[in-house]
Amino acid sequence: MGLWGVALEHYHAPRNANGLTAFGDRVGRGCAGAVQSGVEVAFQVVASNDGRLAELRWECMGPPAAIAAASWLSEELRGVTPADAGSWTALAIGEVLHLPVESMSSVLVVEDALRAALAELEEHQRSGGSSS
Amino acid sequence: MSTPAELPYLDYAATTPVDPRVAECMAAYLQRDGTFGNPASTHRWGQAAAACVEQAAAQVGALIGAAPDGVVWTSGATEADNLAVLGAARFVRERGRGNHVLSVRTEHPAVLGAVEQLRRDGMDVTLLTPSADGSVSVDQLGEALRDDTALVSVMHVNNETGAVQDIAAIGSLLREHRACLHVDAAQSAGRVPIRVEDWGVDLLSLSAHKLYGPKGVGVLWVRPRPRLRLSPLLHGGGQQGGLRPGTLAPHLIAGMGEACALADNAIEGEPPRLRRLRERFRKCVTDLDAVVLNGQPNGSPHILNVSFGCVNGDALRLDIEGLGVSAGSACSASNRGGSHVLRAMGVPDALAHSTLRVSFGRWTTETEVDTAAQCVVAAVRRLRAFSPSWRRYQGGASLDGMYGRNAPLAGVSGEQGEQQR
Repeated sequence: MGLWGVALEHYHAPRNANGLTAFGDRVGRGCAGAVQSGVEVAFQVVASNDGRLAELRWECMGPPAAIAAASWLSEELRGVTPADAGSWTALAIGEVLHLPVESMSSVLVVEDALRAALAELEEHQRSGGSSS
Repeated sequence: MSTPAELPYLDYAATTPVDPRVAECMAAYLQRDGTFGNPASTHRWGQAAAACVEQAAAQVGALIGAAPDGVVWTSGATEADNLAVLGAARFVRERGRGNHVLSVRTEHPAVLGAVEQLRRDGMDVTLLTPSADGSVSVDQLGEALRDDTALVSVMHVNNETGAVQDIAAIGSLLREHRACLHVDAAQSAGRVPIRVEDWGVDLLSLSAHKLYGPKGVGVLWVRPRPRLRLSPLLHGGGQQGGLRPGTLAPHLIAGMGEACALADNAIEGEPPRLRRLRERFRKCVTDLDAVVLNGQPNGSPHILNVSFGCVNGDALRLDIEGLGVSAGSACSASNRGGSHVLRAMGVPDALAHSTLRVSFGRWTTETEVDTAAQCVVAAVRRLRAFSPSWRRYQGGASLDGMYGRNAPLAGVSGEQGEQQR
């Protein structure tokens, strides 16, 4: 599958998998992909008081590149603002992790799931923030 | 976790190692003082080689229950399939006695490719869609049969799923029909009894390397009485009645003969032993749940084809790296498009992608089966631990619901859409 270095290490020992059970104003969750296409990704982002991402958790049924990308993002984006987190694209992730070109379509699904989670977080904070 | 060097070879349907007894037999031919003659020569060196070829033909004939004089030596089962399909159909067509060929979507690419060539040449082709377990019924075949059907080609044991076709029943259906019956028996030889003449088979393909013999040699058995005529693919010096010219290779032929004799000797005890190994593996992996067996529960004793739900096929492959099994489309490793066999059986593409073919053979031990099964179980468990679809499955979702089914394939009249290669 052509993974090596950091990506291979994340694939074999994925971090922050599972536990998509948080709820509240500071939580955003997003899914992308479909079982029929062999790639399905879910992300959960939790913001801290200062608005930065405190914790990211994920689930992934997908090829090695998608699993590695989800795991790596869940560590890399901790402490980052949602806006900065949302600026990560599949292409950029693929470059950093040296992911094989033929697996990039599955990394796009990871990007979609992350963006969906960040969008939900933003929505929650906007509606939740007005009441506090 | 086992290192690759410790992981066993369970891919005997892809190829088998040469049995040491076969290797010994073959080595004798390659010595300076061995039987090196050209079997077509009339002097004593040639006649000695011809006698060895004749003995090998008798050994092949004994394994398949057929007259040895029907044996035509080829380079393998691919050539045998091509010679059978193209040779029989062209011979009939050239004489205006038929223009239709009937086969099945799950056939080996060697048959499907040859059939596709016949279509390009202007013949009518019907490819039957098998049922979900990979079998075609005699009724289905009977309905698709036409007065101008020249050839029916149905494999005995499928190379990917181990599904067994009832050749005896198909043979008796065709007894009253002029169409000739070709059977690709490359996978079944030595695993499932073959009775060519009792069943009314006209053409049968065999491969030595699926049978603990050498690569590079196979057989097309052609019914000698009444003599079935074929148009040859190759033209040359008239060897083998002009049907397949070219100097015979006595060392390969003797190796195939010896391999057939050994398989014939073991035909009572070996299949049940293989079936026990297959059951052992099946039991181990089906405990995982959300596992689908592709093919018949009592298919060929040496092949097990299973799909693992809720995991991605590429990830599964990487996790079992080093294990000697075939993943996805087993017999067309270069074809990234997925398995035409599983697709014809209605297996959804994503599920077909996470499919393993495990095949057992003469030197497979229970320990090897356990090691391999544990490796697969560990991989599937690990990947499911963070799979969202596995979580849904545990919450009550069904595999059918999540994966969907493939769109139904065209029925017996399907004239288009056969695999484009």
